[in-house]
Amino acid sequence: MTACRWIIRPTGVAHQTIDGESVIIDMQQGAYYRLEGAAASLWEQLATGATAEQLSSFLAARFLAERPTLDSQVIEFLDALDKFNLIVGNAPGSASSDLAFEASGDPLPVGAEAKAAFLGLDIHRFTDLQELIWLDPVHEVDDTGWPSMVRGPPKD
Amino acid sequence: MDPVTFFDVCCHAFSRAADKLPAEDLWLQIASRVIRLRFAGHGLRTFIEPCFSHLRLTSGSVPEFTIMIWDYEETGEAVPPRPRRPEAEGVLGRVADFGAPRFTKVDHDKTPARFTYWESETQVWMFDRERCVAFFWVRSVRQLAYWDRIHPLRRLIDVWANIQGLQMVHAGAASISRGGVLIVGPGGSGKSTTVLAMLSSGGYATGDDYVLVSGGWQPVTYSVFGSMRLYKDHRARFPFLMPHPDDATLDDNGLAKLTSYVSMHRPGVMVARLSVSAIVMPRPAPGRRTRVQREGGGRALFALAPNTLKQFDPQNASAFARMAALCRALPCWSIELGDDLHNLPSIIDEIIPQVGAG
Repeated sequence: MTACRWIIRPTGVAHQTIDGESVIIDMQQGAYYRLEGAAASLWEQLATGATAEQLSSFLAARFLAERPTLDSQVIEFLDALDKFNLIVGNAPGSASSDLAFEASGDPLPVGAEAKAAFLGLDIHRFTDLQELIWLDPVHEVDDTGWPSMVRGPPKD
Repeated sequence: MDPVTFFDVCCHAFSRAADKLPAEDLWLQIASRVIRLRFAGHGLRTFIEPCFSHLRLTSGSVPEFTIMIWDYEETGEAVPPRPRRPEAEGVLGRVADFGAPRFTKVDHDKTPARFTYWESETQVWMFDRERCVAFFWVRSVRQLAYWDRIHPLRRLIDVWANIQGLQMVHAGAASISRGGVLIVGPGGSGKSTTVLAMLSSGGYATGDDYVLVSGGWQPVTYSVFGSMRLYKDHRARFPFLMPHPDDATLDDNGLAKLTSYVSMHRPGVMVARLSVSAIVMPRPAPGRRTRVQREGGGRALFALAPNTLKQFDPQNASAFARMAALCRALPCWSIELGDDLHNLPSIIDEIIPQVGAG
């Protein structure tokens, strides 16, 4: 987890970050997500790829928090994104894992007093689109086709 | 049977229906394009025509989009079962031999599908993007769902509009003196209330629930429906807009909702086109005063995109990108809808950055 270079899954994930808020849609599974603040900033970094350490350093330069706290929260954040299949990790030594990290987004604040309060890395997840994708009328007709409907429980 | 043949067979079924009950054309102008609705029989027309009354053309010329509309109960003409090959049935409703997922948009892939196809137990529709011709068939008018009575042909029009570079969004749009706003949010957030409050103050609207939007530096909304689905409370607050309900149904929570053909009751309040200069996100705030607060575009995108994708195509990444561009282009505001709704139009007017009425 720590040595991997993580990047947003290149296919099936649509995402937009506007004014510090990210909206992410998993087009294959139908779940969608909202990230704010530090979490949205990290998501932007994942567009070009970053390791956990790079992300933690990115946060440490911009937010007021102890480094061990940031380290553990970044690991948890990446773990959750990985579990939701929104990011993919490239193992150390692979070609893409060695790319230099260049932070994107707002310029680095000058001085500790310019840093923002760290409010965590919450991921807000919603699944009502998922229900719609999985509810599939086309597959509720039987093998002879429309309009003969499947009787009994719908197919998986 | 390939999709082209299948489509032609369905068109022949419409022709037979039109031979029995002569076809009547309804000519519309939506987003400055001429659309012809061809009805065989009267049942469906009874529900569909009032929703488009404000966009009606008195005479037709060359249509840019034609939809053939009929039902089995009145005409005795059905569409045949769609040919099925098990190996063509993919995941998430994708049907390979029809070249498209169930909710297809033409710009999903680099090589867009020619046909978009939809079927359910009670209706079938199909769109041929090459000819800009579609058919819409239902088993019985009595089985027409309430959402098809209030906002008929919604998905079909969206698929066609995508080819025109337009996006149907789950939003309202209305204007007062200085210009228009796009009104976004989930059901129950106050989109209709905001639109009605603006209409009651002499404003105009292109819709309260669905509008077509073009991109660019000055986004424009286009009206599709002149009908609104409202709660009883709306009628009590804005009686002049709805002298009597035109239809009544229950919402998902069992609350009565009334259909009003607002554009018929108040000719002129629903306009075909409206420029928008801001995005507003209403939410009810009973017991408080109405107020606005500046928000980021990401918040507006969250209020707009999932609800729109849910209603049209959960897998349309291009639509998501178009909505994001809209939220980047326009200033965004949240509005708490308090008890002093009469102040809402002037509050909205103040946040509009420039004159932009279309």
